[in-house]
Amino acid sequence: MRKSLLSAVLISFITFIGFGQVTLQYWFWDANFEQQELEMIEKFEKTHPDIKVELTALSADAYWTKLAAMAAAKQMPDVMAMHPNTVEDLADQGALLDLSGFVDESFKKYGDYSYFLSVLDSSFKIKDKYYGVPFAWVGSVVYYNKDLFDKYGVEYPTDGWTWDEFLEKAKALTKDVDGNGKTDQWGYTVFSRYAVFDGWVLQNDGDYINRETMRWDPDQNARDTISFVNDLVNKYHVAPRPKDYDLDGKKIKIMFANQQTAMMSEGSWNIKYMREDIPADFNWDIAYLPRGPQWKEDVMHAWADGLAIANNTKYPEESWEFIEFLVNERLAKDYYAGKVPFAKKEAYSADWKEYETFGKLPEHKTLILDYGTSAKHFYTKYWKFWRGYASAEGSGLSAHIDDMLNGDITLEQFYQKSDREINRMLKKAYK
Amino acid sequence: MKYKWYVPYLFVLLALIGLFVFRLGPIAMVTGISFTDWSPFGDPSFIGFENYEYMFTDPSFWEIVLNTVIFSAIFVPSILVFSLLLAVLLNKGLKGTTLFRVMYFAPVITSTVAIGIVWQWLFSTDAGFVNFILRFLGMENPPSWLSDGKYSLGVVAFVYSWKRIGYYMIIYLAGLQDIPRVLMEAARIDGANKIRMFFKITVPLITPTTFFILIMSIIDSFKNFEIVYTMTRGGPGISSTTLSYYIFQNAFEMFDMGYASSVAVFLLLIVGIITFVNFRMKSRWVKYQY
Repeated sequence: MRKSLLSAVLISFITFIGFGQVTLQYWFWDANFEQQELEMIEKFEKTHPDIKVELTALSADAYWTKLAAMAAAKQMPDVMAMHPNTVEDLADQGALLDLSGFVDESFKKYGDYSYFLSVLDSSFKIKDKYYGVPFAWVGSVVYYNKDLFDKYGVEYPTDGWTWDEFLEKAKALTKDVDGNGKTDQWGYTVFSRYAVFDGWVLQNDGDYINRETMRWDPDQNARDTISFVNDLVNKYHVAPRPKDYDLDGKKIKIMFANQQTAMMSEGSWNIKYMREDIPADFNWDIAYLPRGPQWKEDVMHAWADGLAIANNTKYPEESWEFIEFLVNERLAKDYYAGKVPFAKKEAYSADWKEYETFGKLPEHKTLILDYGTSAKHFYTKYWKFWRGYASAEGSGLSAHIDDMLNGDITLEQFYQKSDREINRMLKKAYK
Repeated sequence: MKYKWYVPYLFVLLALIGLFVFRLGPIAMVTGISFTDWSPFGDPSFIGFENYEYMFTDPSFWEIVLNTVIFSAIFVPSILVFSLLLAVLLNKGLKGTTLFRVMYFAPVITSTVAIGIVWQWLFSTDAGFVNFILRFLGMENPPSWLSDGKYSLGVVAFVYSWKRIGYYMIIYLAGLQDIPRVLMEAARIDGANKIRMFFKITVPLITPTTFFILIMSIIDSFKNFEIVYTMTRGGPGISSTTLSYYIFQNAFEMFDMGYASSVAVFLLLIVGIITFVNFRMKSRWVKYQY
């Protein structure tokens, strides 16, 4: 009798515990970081015993496809990785929870000075509401080969360097090394990719989009920038035509690592590639993109890796607790090299200053931090298509930029084609 | 013995369920979705023919249709000619035939992603093997095979043909082995040479196989997706984007299921019409009797 009573009490207790526990579904887009995410979850579950988190880590290629399929089946994960190039599309469809209330509460708790607010606002604020929160962010920078600069007696880039100074250096570094009459070492390498190209426009205070009409309508500053970059390839010949090297996101890094180019622009997350995947076996550093003639302030083409909550989650509070934990408790050493923690305490920690602390290149990695107050980008709805990203890589604006840089179309044709094609998409996106 | 009226239906029930659940049902759903504005993240709203209007008035769409037709025009004849040629050679019973059969079939079972990446390297402008050979032969500026819109589609179609030839070769081999030897012997006794025998006996007698391969390779060419995804992502620009790839982009990158469905319906109609015309023309050239 006593045994039965004890069993009944025990079962009731276990059932109570079981019912009291909430299980969150969490989807992340980098299968390589599965272990790190699991460690974070383990830490979270220890401090939040009433919340269990189940992780699904997918490859970036499969992530959006599977998310769309789950959404169609009305089974969105409670918490999911989110990108500013997609957040507006999803928020517009009512798929994401408005996080404004949670964000305000969090600011009260931690202090809004604790975060890079311009990254939050530029990335996840849609019509004055927050639909995501960054946990990390990145920006476009110039990578340069210090050994080649030294070899040809060219001074390193400085803060506030201008287009003219950039051109001068690029000219001095463009060489026919083997003497066969053809350039085989380029001062700079550029192609259409957003992370390579768009920072130039922002550093000349330009914009591709008319923000009132939400149409592709580059202002004069953007047009001047496009002409200048085109001239780097087709007038000054300090950068190769993209098609001569099949330039893409990987090839440009291979060229840099092979010392075929002294400078390139790319996202700061490529610091990881330069160290590990395609090791740059020489002394290299990063600098800010040079200032154009219409420069007003240093603006970094920045974008964030964020987290969002499904609108139909049963557990908004618990989901937010989990997000808050991931944003604030992840240590600097656990970030992908070149990605900046959104929480300043980690971004400014000794672990993130890797050059000073561990002697790891690049020396000026921390310059990215200075620009966390001036993040901008050109994301809109349908951005992937009109800008040419992911499965549309190389189409839309990218196709026309490459055609122009390849010398296959004139600047005038570039604008005609871009206007026709991009505005057709934007008209559909912003009816 | 008398059966209940429903017994025959029970025998085909599984197939019928499969047909409705996995074929006709999705076709009906896709057709319905094509009249809506629907992202999987929201609810669909009926918009009539708006998706079709956007599609038919979009110059990019017609360029993609043309790409698909060009892809097919390269792929289908290549398959018909080279898979037959290989099948005939491998049907001779020469030494090493089994090894060659395995070699030609290997690309069929190799991952398309792996094939795409390897061929990408081979066709690389500055460091690829193809251009290395062309430079060795004296060409100063060999083409940018995958970065120049003039060549990218052709290269992708070539690689896909290379991958699929082995599969169709096996089907031709089966067809060739069905030809009665007595016919060949009779022709030989009558003094026909090998070329004459090939065109007058082999080719006509394998027309049912050729017809099957024609239909399947056309469908294959319109359905291709992975090779474009792996090698060019439809680029540069949209120069190698095909309809299947375009459907994927719209559905799973732009989440525009309504528009993607309207393109899918268009693709279904095109393939349906081509297949219908082929079946109508069949009696003119396909011979089922010796």
